[in-house]
Amino acid sequence: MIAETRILSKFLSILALLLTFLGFQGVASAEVSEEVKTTEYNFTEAMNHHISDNYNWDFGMLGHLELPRILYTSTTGLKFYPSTTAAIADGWIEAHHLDEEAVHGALLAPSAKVLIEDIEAGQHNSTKKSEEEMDIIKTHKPLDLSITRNVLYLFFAFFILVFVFSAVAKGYSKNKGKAPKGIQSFFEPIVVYIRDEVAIPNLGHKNYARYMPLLLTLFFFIWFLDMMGLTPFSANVTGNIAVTLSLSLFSLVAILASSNKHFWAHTLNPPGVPLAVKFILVPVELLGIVIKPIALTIRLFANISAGHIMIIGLFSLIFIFGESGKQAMLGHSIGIFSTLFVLCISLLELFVAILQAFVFTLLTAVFIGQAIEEPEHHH
Amino acid sequence: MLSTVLLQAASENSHLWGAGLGAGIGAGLAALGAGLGIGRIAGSATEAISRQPEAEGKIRGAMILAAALIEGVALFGVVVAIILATKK
Repeated sequence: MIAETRILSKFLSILALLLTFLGFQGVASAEVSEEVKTTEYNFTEAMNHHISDNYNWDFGMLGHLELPRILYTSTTGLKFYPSTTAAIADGWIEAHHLDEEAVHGALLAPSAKVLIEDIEAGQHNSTKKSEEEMDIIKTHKPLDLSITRNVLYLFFAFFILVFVFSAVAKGYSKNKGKAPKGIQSFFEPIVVYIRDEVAIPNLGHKNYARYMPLLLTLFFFIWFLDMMGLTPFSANVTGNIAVTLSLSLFSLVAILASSNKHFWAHTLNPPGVPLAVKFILVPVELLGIVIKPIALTIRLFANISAGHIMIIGLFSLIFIFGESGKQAMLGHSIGIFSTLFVLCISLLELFVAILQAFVFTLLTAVFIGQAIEEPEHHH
Repeated sequence: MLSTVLLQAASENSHLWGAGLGAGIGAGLAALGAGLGIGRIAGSATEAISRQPEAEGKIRGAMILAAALIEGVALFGVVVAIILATKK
């Protein structure tokens, strides 16, 4: 057994070395074959394409699904379309033609069409955008309430949470007084952990039950969304700063709504502090109340996005080394190492997913705990 | 490979070479800071666990919380670097 594994590992290492050195043959042939038609691989564009939201659900070679559009302008009212193509057929205009910074699928109101034709008839000037074009883009942009990929995955997370936790709750009512069975036995330790290590130490025995729904929802929602972002063809939901900002706003509302008089008295009039320092400390404390949820936002957004960018970067190495077809052998050989690295980083990302969900929940509990703190009686 | 390097030297974003340089140095320094900070936390945590193995649960909890907070700060730096690097 040992002898066979040694022979196998020797064979694999020779194979890997051969593949790597074979790849360098491609360098010599690059200057010879100039008629190979390839497009330059732009890493920034590929990264932005995979990190940001899209108006379609792309399955690579397996297909392409356009998502519904919901557009509102004051002149046309609220309009529903089953796809971007249907919206364009109805007169809406692709903003991308007018503005390269606009994302593919961003639309302008139908009334912009005449104005754009006027501009294109009137002038053919430099690449700098003219003031009239900027004006059209600003005034004819509809309010975009479309079901984008991120919205679709938010709905998926919602349905998964409802489905899973109604099953867990049903398990509790069926197994009253008995040991937990099935899916209940998977989620019970997690819920108990959050109750005993996150909620009770920070919120106290008396009040923790009021905040458990919020903390549990935040934890499982963020965890499930993080995990879904690691599956193929998915959307980078928690890596979207709008989503994380909304979650932090929920935390901020919970913190402010549960803050008591003692908290505000201590914030606006810190005890044991000289008057001159108070002038500096009070604005800093007030800013701190807002900055803490902003830190929650950026922490979750940056962690998840950085993980995705690392994975995209490692995959992009294949295309950068292969120079989009001109040095295909080098691309092939780097592919083995690239895939192994991506596997390891993905395992790390699974850990980061649950860790960031836990840290978001824990810090929300800590901030709420600071806001509901009762005065100590030795004052 | 040489051809892509030469192409990059003469690309149309040459006026933003400073932004790219700053982004690279900034991201590297942020990673350095995170590594130093979290390394210290991990060192103290393992030492504390070796002194008192019964407190392992509490120490591990505190370690993970502190590591996540410090990593958050490092990622503020990474976000700024990304904004600089993808500037047009």
